[in-house]
Amino acid sequence: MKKEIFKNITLVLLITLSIFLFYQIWFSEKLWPDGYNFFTINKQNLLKTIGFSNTTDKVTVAIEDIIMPKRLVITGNGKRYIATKGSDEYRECYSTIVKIIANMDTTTSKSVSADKSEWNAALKSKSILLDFGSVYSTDLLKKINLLLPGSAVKDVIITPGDTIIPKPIMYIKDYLTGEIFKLTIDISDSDIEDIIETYVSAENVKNMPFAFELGFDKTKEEGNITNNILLDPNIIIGLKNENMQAIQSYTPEIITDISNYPLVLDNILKLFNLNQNSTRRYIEKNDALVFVDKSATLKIHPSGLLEYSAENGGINLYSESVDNKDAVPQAISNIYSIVRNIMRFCNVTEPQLQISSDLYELSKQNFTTEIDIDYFVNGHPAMILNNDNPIHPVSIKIENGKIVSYSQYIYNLNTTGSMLNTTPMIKALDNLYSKLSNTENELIVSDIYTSYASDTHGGVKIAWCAKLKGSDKIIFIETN
Amino acid sequence: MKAMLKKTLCALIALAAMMSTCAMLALAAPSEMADVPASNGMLYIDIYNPETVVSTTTQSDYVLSGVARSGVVVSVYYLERSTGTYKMVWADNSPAVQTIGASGYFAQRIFLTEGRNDILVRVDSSESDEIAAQIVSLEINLLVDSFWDRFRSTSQNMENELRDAFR
Repeated sequence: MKKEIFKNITLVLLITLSIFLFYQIWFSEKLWPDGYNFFTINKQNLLKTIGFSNTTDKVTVAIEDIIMPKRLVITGNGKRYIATKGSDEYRECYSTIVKIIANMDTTTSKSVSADKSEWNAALKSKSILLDFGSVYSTDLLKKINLLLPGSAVKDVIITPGDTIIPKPIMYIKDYLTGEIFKLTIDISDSDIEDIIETYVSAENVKNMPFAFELGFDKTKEEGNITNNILLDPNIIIGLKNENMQAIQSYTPEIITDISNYPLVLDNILKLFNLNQNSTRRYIEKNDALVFVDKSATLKIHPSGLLEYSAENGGINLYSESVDNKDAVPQAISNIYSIVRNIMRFCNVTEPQLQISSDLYELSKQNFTTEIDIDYFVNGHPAMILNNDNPIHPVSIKIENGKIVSYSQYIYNLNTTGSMLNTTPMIKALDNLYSKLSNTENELIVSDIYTSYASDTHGGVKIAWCAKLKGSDKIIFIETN
Repeated sequence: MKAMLKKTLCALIALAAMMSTCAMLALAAPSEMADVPASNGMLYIDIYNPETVVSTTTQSDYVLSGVARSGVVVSVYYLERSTGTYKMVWADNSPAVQTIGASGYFAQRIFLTEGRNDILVRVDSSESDEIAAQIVSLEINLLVDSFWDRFRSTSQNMENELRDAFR
């Protein structure tokens, strides 16, 4: 009897094992490395039918989730706290600011002109600076309930008011004219005070001066020694080495092996108005999978780079029937949706996205521009190193409201748990000057920040990146 | 004979160590100075913050800044009133000594105490040995918030009185 039971158990085990091995051989392993693999492809179709597909539904991104400040600079009691996009502190603080913005009625408040000294004084005293990182048209900011005077804005300051005007005051600098507007907000100032007190009262918060506070934004008129480099007044000078979490990048298997994921391919192609059945498909010498139809080409490189280009037409970012005022927000929302959907289809952990291009003077009739988008990890952008030149992970060229060129690096960025150390900002400025001292033009740094720089082989360095005034080119400054 | 040679060798090593220490002390910025040292009168640094030699601030966590010639060594001292000596400033666990790089920028965090703070910025050019290249003396007065609040309150009262008078 006992022998019978033992035999039955062994038999059941062997049958189970044989089923498992059968599945492994036929469905999980490819019959050949490239091309059509019947079993793996049909496995995905089956999984999709029964609702276990690893591909996900398309998402749409609301404009409120796109047009957000890159960072919030909270000043008070001689200390300064920077909350960068993606951090818990940012989310908490920005949600309060959004509520304040929603309740304020800037249409009834009349704005008055203010001068640069008032702007600087507001930055030095108790205040919250909303640094958008890029210039946005005030029409676009209306979409996030921020009704502001002026035509294009990059920074907004909110102060809790003072003893003379005990109401919150908003300072707005028009990027195009340089004019500064001062707007009294008819709400209680206690919410702003509370945010400031909460963040600057922490023990580890230090004094991080703006460049204008140290005089690094101008040459001293009667100085004996002149500055070699000038800085934008709103650059915050980090005096110490900065610690950053180390990260690593890797291309997801779906991308390295894309031809075996027909459903993912299908979804990606649909985003670019292409169809697997009507496009010519081939593999380039560099192993890139290419889809070509009569007017557009889509390439997916095993390294994670996706490239699209259209000769005639392109992808419409808004419908013909859309209102003038809604065309630009709809287009930006659609761009974000494409970027995020590609990452979702490829099972990539979505990083924070941040537009790094200025978005102003755009309309339904005149929508020809280039838009770059950065991935943000731990509050720092993650750039791509291409022959030691940093480039944005997402670059889009738009002509008359249509995407004519698109490139996106698809990869996962994960923290490794170890910490890396950057050089202080002044050391980075020294290196920048050494690098550019031969140029004849005056060196005015419009932005300088720490960044991750990922090569296409998975290596991620940390570096300083600088932008000079009047140029979109990013200068890469390696940390020592 | 062997013992004699050993002793001579030890003495020579000790002498070399002493000489190198002396040389280092002469070149590097000293950790404290009994008095304001003499300088050779050359101009190597321009202080940007504070803008004037005598200044007032409400920030105890203060950043001194300026532009200096590349390659010079800038060190910052404060006057310790109890001993009358200038002691080197320490901030963020390191002494306030910086070699100026190609950009020329200099920034040093210092912590001020309430009232008058006598700060001394010493510049040593790489060629100089014992005499400092340039000395800049600064007086920074730290006002505490309560004083500042009283001042603001008084000025507001005065402003209100003036407004009432003109009504």
